[in-house]
Amino acid sequence: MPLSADDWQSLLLTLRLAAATTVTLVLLALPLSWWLARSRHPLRHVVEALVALPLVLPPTVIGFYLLLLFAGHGLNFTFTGLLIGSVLYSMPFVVQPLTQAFTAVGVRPLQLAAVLGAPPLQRWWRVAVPLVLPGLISAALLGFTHTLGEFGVVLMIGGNIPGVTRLVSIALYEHVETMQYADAHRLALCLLLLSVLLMTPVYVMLRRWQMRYLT
Amino acid sequence: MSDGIVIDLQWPSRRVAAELPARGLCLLTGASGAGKSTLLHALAGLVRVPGAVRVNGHTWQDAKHFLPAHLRRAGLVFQEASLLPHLTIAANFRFAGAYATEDVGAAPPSAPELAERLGLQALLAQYPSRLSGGERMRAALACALASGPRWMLLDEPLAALDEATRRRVVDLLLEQARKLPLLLVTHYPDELAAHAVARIRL
Repeated sequence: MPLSADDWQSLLLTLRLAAATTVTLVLLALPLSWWLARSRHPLRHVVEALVALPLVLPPTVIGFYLLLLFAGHGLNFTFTGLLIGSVLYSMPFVVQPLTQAFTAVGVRPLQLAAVLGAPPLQRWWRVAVPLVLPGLISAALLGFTHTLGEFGVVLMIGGNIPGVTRLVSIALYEHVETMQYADAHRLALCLLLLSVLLMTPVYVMLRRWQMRYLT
Repeated sequence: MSDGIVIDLQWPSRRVAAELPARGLCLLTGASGAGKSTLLHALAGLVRVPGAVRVNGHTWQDAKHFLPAHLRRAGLVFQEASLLPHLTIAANFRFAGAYATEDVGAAPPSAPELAERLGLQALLAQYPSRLSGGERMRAALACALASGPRWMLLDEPLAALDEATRRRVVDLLLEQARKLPLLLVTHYPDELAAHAVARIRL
């Protein structure tokens, strides 16, 4: 029972959005999480709270404000608009585990690298980042998987344009609305299997990391 | 260029001032909690304590300057014998050697030479988490020496070692002390007192 051409299109679009979102988030989260883990600046708690907002707010609230914000800039109902929305929506799923990973590294390996003569950027790149690599990969997988299931934000700012903004979750919703349960099943199963497939390595990675460094 | 070491550090509640010879073993003693490790970390530039530190013509800090840790070239061996946990022992050695500067007076001993002297060859492919306390201490010591230090700062390096290894490590340290200044924290100053050129009591 293959997917219909339309559903394939939705699935590929969703994967493309999730990939673009993940790359953007990793690039943003590496410096941001590092700062959150190491800074004693009073503003860091505000930043942490802002990053965590998508966890507690209904996605439609975020979507609504983005809709207003995007209105003057032609970003509504575009892939770029979706990308910005997804980055905000999935941000805590990447930033929080990565911040924990950086915190767990502690100061000692970085102090040691400094004493051995490594300048700050080298300490970051050759010590801090390799030490959080398993955490970074799990954070990226979490962000990717979470973006796959995005619905509320998309509904507000994306609409339902085939090939541009019609993601799997929207297509699935439409199938249900129009009583096409067989199509809905296929799409839902796709998303479910994909998520299991992506989440399993997260836990494999975490265990391996614990084995190597903590025993 | 003035030879010798000058320490004059001012904590809120105490001051540590000393003048030490340019080379040789200096012992650092004091009760637990007296601040021996804190002093070593301050000398290495890991914590900022106001005052002056000059090491054989290099000003590490004074009233106006504070040289960051990576430019000081202090061969600090932490009390926990820290190593970089994501690298094998061999890779730790390479990391330590990668930043060794040319202008340090005595050429640092090469990593393979140190590995042999300290009996570490069989451990080169291991990660630090697999090593015993004594093995970690020897590996950390080798890293510190391979980094081309201007001043070795050793935080109880002998505590975790068995008698035979201890002998080996002491021999190596005394040999280094002919070229370099060493500041060594110990709770048993008597065994090294005969070889020491100075002593700081906290």
